[in-house]
Amino acid sequence: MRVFQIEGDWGMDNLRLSERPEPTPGPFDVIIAMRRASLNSRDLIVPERGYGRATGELPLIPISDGVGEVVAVGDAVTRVAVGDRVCPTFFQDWPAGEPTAARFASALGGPIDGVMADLVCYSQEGVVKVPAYLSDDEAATLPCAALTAWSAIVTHAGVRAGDRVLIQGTGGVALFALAFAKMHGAHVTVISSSDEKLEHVRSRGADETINYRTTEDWARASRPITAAKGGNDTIVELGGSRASLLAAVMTSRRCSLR
Amino acid sequence: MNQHQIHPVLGETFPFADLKAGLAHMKAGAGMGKTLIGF
Repeated sequence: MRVFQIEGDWGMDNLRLSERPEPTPGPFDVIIAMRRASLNSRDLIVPERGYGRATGELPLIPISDGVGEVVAVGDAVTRVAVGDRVCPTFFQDWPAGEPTAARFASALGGPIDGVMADLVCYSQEGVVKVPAYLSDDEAATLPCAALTAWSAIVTHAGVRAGDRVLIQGTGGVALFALAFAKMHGAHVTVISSSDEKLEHVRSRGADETINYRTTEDWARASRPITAAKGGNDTIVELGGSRASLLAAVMTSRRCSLR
Repeated sequence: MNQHQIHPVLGETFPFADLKAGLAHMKAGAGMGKTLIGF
């Protein structure tokens, strides 16, 4: 079967179209014929071994997110059946609870082989059935990006109606965070370097927008938006730099930083 | 998501063999929505 894998040595140049034998399922495993994959920023980091030892071993099949159809199951499988449309979970061994080293080490597309293969084999505990209303394209985007946003907005921040939420950027996690924050009734501000993208997020429910290229001190510019509360209840920090994190903290109503 | 019928934002789709072009497209960040790979 076709796979993409990082082989020989690390580096994007060693990410190649290749062949592997088709997998056979163990008693608790399912075989999925992949239909769609979706890309995340981490997929640029993995080929360069950007997570160090936690990136995994070569050869490694990259890419975390996708959707496919169950085409074979092991004898002991009860959770899914042949014909089900499923997404593999981003963390194969983290169904719930606090993070642990072992759970972090179960990420798909590094260190565990990812979804860039015609057929993939995972435990029945590591797949989730997809709601019928989602297209294959839509379902493929959920495991990493949507779960990251859900974890931030719902699980950790506990966003509620009337909360002020600020989201950095318009990438995958940001757009899901916007949808989930609006779903919970929050007032959402989105910042981006592009007016065109800001116009788009307004059409998807953003209440306020700030262009951080034309308004460099966006943290200050956000103050009037949150004046009644003294800052944002939740900031989804996606900039990834120290400056971005610091500015995010400065817009929080929960801390005072001068 | 089912209850609120939330639809993810979709971007460009690339064929399986063009994974690296898809990764480059995502890295450039010019578009919006998730970059997809077909099989």
